[in-house]
Amino acid sequence: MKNISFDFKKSFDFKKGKGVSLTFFLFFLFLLAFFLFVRLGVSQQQEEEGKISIKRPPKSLDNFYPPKSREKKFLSSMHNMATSFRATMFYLQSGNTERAKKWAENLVKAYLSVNDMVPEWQNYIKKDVAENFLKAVNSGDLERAGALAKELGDTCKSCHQDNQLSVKIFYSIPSWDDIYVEDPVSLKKVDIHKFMQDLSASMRFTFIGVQDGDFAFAEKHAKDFSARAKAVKETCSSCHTSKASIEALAGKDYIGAVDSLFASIKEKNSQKFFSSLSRVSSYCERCHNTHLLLWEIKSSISD
Amino acid sequence: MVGHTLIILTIIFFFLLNFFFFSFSSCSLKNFVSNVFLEEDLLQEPHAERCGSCHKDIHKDFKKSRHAVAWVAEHFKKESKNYTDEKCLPCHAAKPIWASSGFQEESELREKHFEDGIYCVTCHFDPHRKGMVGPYDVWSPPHPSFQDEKIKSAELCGVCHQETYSEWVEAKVDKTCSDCHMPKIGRKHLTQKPPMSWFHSKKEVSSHEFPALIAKKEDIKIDLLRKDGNLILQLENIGVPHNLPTADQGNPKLYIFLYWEDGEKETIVLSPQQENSLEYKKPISFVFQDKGLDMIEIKRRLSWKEEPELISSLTYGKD
Repeated sequence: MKNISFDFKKSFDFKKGKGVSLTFFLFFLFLLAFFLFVRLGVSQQQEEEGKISIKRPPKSLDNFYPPKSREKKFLSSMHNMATSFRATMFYLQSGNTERAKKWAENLVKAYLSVNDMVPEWQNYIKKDVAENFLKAVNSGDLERAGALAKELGDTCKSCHQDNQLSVKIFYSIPSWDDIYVEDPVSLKKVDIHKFMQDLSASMRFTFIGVQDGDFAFAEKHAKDFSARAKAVKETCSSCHTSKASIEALAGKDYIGAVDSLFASIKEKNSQKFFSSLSRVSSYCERCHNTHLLLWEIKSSISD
Repeated sequence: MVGHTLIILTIIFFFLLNFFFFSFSSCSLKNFVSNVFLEEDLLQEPHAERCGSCHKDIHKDFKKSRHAVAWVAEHFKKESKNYTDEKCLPCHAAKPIWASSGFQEESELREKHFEDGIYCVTCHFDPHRKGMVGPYDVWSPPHPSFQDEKIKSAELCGVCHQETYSEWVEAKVDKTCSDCHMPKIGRKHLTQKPPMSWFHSKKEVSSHEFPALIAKKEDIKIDLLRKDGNLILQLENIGVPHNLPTADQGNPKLYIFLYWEDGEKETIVLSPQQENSLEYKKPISFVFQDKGLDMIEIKRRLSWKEEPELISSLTYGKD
């Protein structure tokens, strides 16, 4: 077998005609560097893409959402821009300059109004780009308008990437801090958080009683749990008017499961208790996974 | 002699005037007078005070009602999240509820005078007939008036009070909402602004305070049965033709307190939001361990009030 060996010195003898040429070597190094650079950039981007950043939106935005404002003026402005953008490009492409101008004016007006509504976001607003875009549309220059449209759209994208999620979380997720419940055990009005703590405590003591075989103890706490679990339904109508949605979360099946749980304690039937508990907790889970999860995210950025 | 003649002529003239005014149902003179005295702004859905400028007594009653504060009440402002919860608003400042035939299916939020709440215009102004609707056939030059028996119907109230209306339909009674919640307060003039008020005879007037009545002791039937060491308490709403308590969105409560001889107390809470209110003529039972019953108390709490009010209190002794 032929002995194949690699003579480093000969291979990298850059004298012309011998070994690997300088040009090739430099080109190879360049390719390697480029590849590493791109790969590093991609992995960083992937790392960035995996991150979600949420933060409390600027306070000035509070003025354009409930409870400070019945009208969602900021959101309307966003929709207005999106519609105007689409209309402008459509009419430009179809050669209807008059209509394109009208919609472009609408777009630019709404775009610049963001500065007035949320001064904290002024860095995202490129006034010169917007004005040049309008000029391009007015002159009917499709190519220039298209280029500026992209530039303008990138400013929207930039703000959306940084803020859209935070705004949606902060203003769309209902606040639970204003919800009070009359505790059917104490007949005192308590906030929902305290109420849930007491509900949870009743359940845990019931569970402890059953586990320890002390059904008298379990019954005492099951009575409280049953009354509180049924009172949870009163909180639904704070936001929901549809009977169907309340029925899905705390309807006849839910009440039946709570009654079954209490009956199992009276019957001293542990198996029935665990089976009923499983049914009840599936309803707790529904509401928690819909509301509690989102509320906790919102709370993390609230004042 | 001349004086007597003048007096007689004045009386004859007065009777002739009344004859022409009131005798001819389609008289052009009547229409002429109506046009002269018509107050156009009354048909533009004005403030409650404007209606109250003539209907002084009714307006005074209305100002004491919950309808008058339907929008401005702190309780509502808080519950509607500073008037931003859209679903709450239409029933607290509703547009006129008369439709081209019958009533609107649902209330709609009007564009102005929110602070007047549910006021005159909501129930009495018909934008289709362009006039005021009431229970009497009257000629009122300041605004066209129409007599319509439906003004007294439960259906009118049901445009906003939808749940309570459904419960009333289920109860199948002849008594309507206004029989209890707009009690007659005697024969009075409908307006208190002379000289127009002089042209109307007194009519049976209903209260516009819309009281949220409290059930009487005899409206809730209580039966007790002892069996196998248990006490079975049966409650039945026999007097109120809707659920007790009732509400569309509010959260009123009915409390039944049982006091035992050992000093312990048990509570049953009934509420429309828990969907366990006492339905009319549908008894419900509760089972307790019989520890010797001392007393039962029934109380109610309206959703805008902090403190409950007593309905009845029954004392029991040992058998």
